[in-house]
Amino acid sequence: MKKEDRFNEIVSENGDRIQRICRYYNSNPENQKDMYQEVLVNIWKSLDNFKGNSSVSTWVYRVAVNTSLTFTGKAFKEMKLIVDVDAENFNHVIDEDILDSKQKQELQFEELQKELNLLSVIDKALISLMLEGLSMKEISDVIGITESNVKVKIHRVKENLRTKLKGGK
Amino acid sequence: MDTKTEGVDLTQLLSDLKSEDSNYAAKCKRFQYIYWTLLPIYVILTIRHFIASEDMKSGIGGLCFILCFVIFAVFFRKFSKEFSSVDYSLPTTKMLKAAAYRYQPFQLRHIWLLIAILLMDAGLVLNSSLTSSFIDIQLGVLVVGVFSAIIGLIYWYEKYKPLRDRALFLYKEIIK
Repeated sequence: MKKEDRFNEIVSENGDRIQRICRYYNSNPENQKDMYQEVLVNIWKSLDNFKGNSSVSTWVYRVAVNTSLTFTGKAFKEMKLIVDVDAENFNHVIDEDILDSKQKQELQFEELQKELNLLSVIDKALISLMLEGLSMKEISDVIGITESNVKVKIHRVKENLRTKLKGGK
Repeated sequence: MDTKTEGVDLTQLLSDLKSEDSNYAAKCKRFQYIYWTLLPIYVILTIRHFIASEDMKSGIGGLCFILCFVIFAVFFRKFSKEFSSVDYSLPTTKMLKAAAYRYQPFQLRHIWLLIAILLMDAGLVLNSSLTSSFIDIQLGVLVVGVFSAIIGLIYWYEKYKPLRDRALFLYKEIIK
């Protein structure tokens, strides 16, 4: 298959994933567009190195996360994780017992988003992948750390969020 | 397929990327043509000069220059290829480590550049057509070398150090 056809196939099958990752990191549509374009450029540049050792979606997530971490269009200190209240895997971030009703969920959403924005850029990357529904194994493949390390980090983030949302320090 | 997603025109982007690829390939080809054209010319000139003068010193000097050119050509070709084909599909930790190494000012492989400069210095010293003294040549090479190194370090500090620092910062944050 020609490089161009392969690229088109990957973008058409994974465009939504890439767009969601870009939205996680940028609230501004212009920045989302810039990051989206940069991810596509990096997919093109890295396509020759794709040997099929991992699934295409994991490979795409790697390119998207790596691009977001090195995104030149915005200072990384200003990076904000934008959580969609309807995100499919939102409940994975905090325990369901905290979110026992939709109303409570909405009330706590603002607070949660504020806390998520205070996370380190790496924790934001981990959470964004979790929100995408990736397994611990897949996240470890994307980030390049062990599965147990991913679990520890995510557990730590969730613990911090839980404490803060329950009104602790 | 939707050719306009997230406000990005894919057809236009693809055409730009393909033209960037072909421009880079053309640049590499031009660089190789210059290299493969100039090198034999210099080899022939050195041999002719050696046969005519039978001056062994000049012959060795010419050989030093040839080796210096070869090292520079190979090094810069590798360097430009490495910078133009950064792999964003590596696991994040590997990509960050590679980026930190790429933007490091002093690397082990830079010894090749030092060897090339020493060969150039030797070539200048052994070249009988130059009338300057050994000390003058060493001073000249030293001044040019130090000046180039200072310019290079200022450029690195402004352009690449922030990138290296950021890659290292993120890497440390991941593995802590």
